[in-house]
Amino acid sequence: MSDDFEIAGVRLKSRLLLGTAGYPNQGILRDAVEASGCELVTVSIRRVSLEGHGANTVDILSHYRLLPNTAGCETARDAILTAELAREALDTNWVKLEVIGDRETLYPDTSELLEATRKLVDMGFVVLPYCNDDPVLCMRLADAGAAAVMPMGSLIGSGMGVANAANIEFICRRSPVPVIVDAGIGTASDAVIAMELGAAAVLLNTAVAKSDDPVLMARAMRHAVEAGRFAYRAGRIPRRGRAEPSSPQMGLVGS
Amino acid sequence: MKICLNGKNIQIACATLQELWDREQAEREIESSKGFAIAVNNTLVSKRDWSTTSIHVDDKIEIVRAISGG
Repeated sequence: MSDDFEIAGVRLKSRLLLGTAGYPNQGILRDAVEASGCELVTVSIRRVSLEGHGANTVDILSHYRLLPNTAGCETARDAILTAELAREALDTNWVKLEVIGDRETLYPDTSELLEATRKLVDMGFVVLPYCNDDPVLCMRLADAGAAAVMPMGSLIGSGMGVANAANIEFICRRSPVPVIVDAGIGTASDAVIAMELGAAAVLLNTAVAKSDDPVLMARAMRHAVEAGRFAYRAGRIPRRGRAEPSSPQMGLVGS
Repeated sequence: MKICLNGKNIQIACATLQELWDREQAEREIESSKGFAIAVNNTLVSKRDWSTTSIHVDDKIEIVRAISGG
């Protein structure tokens, strides 16, 4: 049975989305993306003077669907302009919307995020906003027309995993659009947890790019996302505060 | 004329965005405009309008490209 998921009418087989920043070199990036099995990779938009920051990423990943982000933007206005530039440069109306409200935590500025989402949706963009793990905000973003919501597992680049599992589970249960847990994933078990909580997909970057072996970690993430999804669909057993023997208690030797 | 290109004040002799792009393309050995975009004074200018968009003194121009990102 197919277990594809869909964003804005586009079916995706892989539930892993991968960032392309911070890899040791472009060859390892290419191999890691391939090992991950992902179809959607994120890129950013920067001034041309920033040579040496993965400038040829678009060329080496040309057969993947590119998801430009608005990373670093601090206002709705800047994020909207960045999205427009990305649409022009890459010929895609998809955008991973980031509007940062605090440089230290990289927490989103929620009011600017909502405003930018509304305006970009009106402009014909497929908007995937990176947001707090806040069920109310996720609902507002979906109401504003977001094609998916991307609540944080934990702080960007922190590797702290899913910090508020109860919130993520609640968001997944209530959301009318796909929930993609983004940021904070540190290792494969974190991705499993996100998927077991009901996430439609996981987006990660640093956990792969900064691991000792990015290609191997990309493969681990691929399997983790699949395992977490299977476990979610299969349904976990209830947690109990006491032991429950699995072997029959009758016919014991010596009884 | 003086403009601000990607955050730096420079002098140019280009009359249109297309001429400025051609200069940047040659300087940076860029093969094509694929993956690039330009904004003038915080407004996107579509590639099809580069040749008809005049540059004015003190214009703030951003030439951007897609690079690696998370």
